[in-house]
Amino acid sequence: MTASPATSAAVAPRVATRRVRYSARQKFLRSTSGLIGTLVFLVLVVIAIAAPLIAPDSPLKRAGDALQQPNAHHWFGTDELGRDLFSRVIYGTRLSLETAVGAAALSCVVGLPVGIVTGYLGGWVDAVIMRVTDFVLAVPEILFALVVVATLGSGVFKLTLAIGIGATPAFIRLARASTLSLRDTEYVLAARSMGAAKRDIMFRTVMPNILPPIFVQIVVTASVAILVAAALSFVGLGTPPPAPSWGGMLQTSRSYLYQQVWYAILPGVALAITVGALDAIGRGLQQALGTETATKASGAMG
Amino acid sequence: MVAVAPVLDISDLTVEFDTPEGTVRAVDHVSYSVDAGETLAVVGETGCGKSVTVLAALGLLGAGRIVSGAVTFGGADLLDMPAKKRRRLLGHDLTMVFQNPMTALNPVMTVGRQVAETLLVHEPKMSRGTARDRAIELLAMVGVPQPDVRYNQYPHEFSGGMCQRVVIAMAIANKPRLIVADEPTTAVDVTIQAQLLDLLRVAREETGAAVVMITHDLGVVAEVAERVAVMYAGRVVEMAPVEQIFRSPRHPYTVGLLSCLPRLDRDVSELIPIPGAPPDLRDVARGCPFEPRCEMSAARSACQNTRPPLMPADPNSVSACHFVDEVESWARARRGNVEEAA
Amino acid sequence: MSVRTEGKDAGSGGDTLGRDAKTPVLQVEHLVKHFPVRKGVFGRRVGEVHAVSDVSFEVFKGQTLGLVGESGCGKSTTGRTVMRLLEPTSGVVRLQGQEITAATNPRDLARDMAFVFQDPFASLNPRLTAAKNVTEPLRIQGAGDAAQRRARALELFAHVGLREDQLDRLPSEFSGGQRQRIGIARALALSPKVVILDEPVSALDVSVQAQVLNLLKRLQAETDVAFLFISHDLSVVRHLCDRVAVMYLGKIVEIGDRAQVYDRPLHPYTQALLSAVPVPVPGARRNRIVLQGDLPSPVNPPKGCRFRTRCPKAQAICAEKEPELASRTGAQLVACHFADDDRSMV
Repeated sequence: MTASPATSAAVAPRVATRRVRYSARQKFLRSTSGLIGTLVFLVLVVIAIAAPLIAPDSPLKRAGDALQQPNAHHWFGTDELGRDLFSRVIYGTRLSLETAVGAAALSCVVGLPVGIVTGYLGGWVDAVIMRVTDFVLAVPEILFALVVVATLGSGVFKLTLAIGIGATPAFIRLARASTLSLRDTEYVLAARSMGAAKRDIMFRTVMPNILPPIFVQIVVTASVAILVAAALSFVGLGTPPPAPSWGGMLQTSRSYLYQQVWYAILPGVALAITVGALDAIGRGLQQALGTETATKASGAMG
Repeated sequence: MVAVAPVLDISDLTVEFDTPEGTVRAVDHVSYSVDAGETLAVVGETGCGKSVTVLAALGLLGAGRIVSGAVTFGGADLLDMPAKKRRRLLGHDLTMVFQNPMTALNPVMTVGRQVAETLLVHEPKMSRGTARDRAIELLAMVGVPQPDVRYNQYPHEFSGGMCQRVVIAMAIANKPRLIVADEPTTAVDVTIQAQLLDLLRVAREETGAAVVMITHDLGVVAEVAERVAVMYAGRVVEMAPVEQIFRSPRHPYTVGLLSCLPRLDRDVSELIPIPGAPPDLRDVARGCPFEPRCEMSAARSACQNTRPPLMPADPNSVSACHFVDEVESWARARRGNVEEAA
Repeated sequence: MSVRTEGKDAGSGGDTLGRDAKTPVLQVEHLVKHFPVRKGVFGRRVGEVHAVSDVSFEVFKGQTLGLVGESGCGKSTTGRTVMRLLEPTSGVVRLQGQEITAATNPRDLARDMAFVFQDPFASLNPRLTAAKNVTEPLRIQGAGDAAQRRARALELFAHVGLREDQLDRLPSEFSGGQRQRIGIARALALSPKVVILDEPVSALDVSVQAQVLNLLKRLQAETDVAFLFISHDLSVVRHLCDRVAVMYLGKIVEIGDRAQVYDRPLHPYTQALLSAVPVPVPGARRNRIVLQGDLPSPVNPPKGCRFRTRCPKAQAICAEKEPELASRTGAQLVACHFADDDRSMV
């Protein structure tokens, strides 16, 4: 007989690990990158909203001599027209975030439902829409925006529109792919077996369940929008002067690099911080949503 | 009783996993051994640690960590053995048959060559031609029709049951001393399962190997095993010869498992389920892990506070229950109550 | 178009005794479902999978019909086609005498027929609380306000053995067995006449499986609902079902009362299937009928009898003439030329 009774099985009572299941929200808040990114981004939002309170001077009016070095009145000096650099960068936050939020919102609001509908319904609608998105996707975002702005003319709104349209196909593809992967899951079949209408299934059953990757995409789009907007302003096709756009400031600063080094550094740093914060949020979201997608819905029942 | 050393001897093995939610003890002081020519069935529900135990013992565990315990294979210490030496044992002296044969086979190599390779790896001096002939012989032995034609086909041209036959052919190719079969018939249909169980029995008889059969199916256990180890929440709760496990189980969990089985061979008036669900291993009860679901315990303090050790229940079996003497009468009364109610 | 008859509970003339075996609530006649096989860049149609070929059966009020067979036999496709999750190629499905057609509003159908899926981890909407999952059918029907639906959720929870404090949890916070209870509660939300259960206990451990089987038995006794129970597990089917239909390669080969089919199987496939199941009795060596070979492709099913390629009794006639599903020696219907030759296992 080879049954070997284990005698040492009666171990000292060990502390049972408490059963904890983290929701995606908790996981996100526990990820350092997500947390820092969110905090930085919130600060940026406050700066954008409270720009008139924070900025010491007007972003557009002359506040003293041109190209001053940093001093007590102008912490980072002035530009070639004597405007306070710090104030211009502060107001620039507003412009950047407007473009970012606008472009991300536009592309999501259009792309998400279109993607879900094509993914769920399939057939020729799907084929046509996918060919169009393939075409737009084949053109680099910046080139696309460039063409749109060149045809429509410049301006904050048009810039946002151009970037938003350019970013829409990515949302369509993502929403479509996510929908396709859900279309034959049992809970979608279950909704069908309950007699739910197609619209109901698409927007009540499918949509909430594909939101996690969409959230990530929104953040990525916002970050790309800021960069594209800056790049277009840099080549003179974005926000027209005298609006205090970071890209525009970078462009002008090139001529004065030796007189006023802060002119280039300040908007550059602002740009880097904003994009960095968004990327950090994106990473945090991806981490949090990758493993546990179900966030705890609010307990309130109708 | 002959003092022959067991082929595989696992003693006091404890395995833990680190998860974001804390440390999980998947295997908790597990001991069992298996002799040459014997089949030991390790049975239990999802997450009871039946597969992890054997994977850890053979050094095939990916993420987990062996906290304590010793494993010997033919007298040699498997855990302390250099990885290289252990790898040489695997696939030769010590082979495995997994649940999913499709993933066990290389999809871009012909089936026959995979069998031949197995032979060549362990006998490099064998000529290619001999390996080929021997592989065809093996395929024929495991019941692959037209083995010389099938030799040149790829796994995707085989059905699931046929693939599992090939895996078994590879497992017995080098006359192993131990075959570990981890849910080998769970992914196949019942008529194919019958074929495979027959085949495994023949394979064992041909090779004289020891077999560890990991399964959740008590029907399979009754069919193939000589001895049975029942696992629950990472621990062996009962181990006994197969007739005894089914005739007079000595642990309330085993009793529960048997009475909740719907039967093919007779009408059962009512199934008696075990209340609750298997525990989350992150949160196992402090005393007996089965206590929260145990109807015999009736919340006695010994059950709630002390882990029952695995102790001899009678000359042939061991059971991890504080009140092992009560099990039989309790089981009888339980069955009686239900039949009366029905 | 509604498939509902007047008065939900007056289906059998106020029959309070319940088990009225004379009332088929679900009739399936000559159901056929083919799937196209496409190949190449242009999706050329190169053949058809004969998933369900001419299947007919009835499910009676308050009873369970078990649909058993191995993977690929078409049992799940049959269930989904009956529920109209798949459009049938041809055939008729009647629910309480009314034919279900392509024009039938799925919402009307859902009032009388519900579906329980196999995977308790995939069949509930992970974003909805348990209570909302359970009352989705009511919301879709537009029945009741939020408070009434919540009350119904509570009622259903009590019915399937879940607690009130679990109502607002998400599916991910439940175990497999509990989730399957939620799935069953959802299926019963509208008090349907028929519930189709597709392998509802296959993903569960035995100790939990027994709980769910007992629950199904109790619910049927209480509500007189009819079940179409699809499963590969012959032991579970024996335990739960009143009648059994055995499928092979898209066809029913034998159908009859449980006792007839299990104690005196007439079709060689049924006999082989029953003999192959390992029984939890050590040493119970039975005369096992081992089938040769594998399941033929449903794209090109064998001519004549579809089982003949693996049948131990096959004769020349089996390749020429397809046996009809008909009454032969026993009370059950069998599709075999040699069903009389009773070699049932003991």
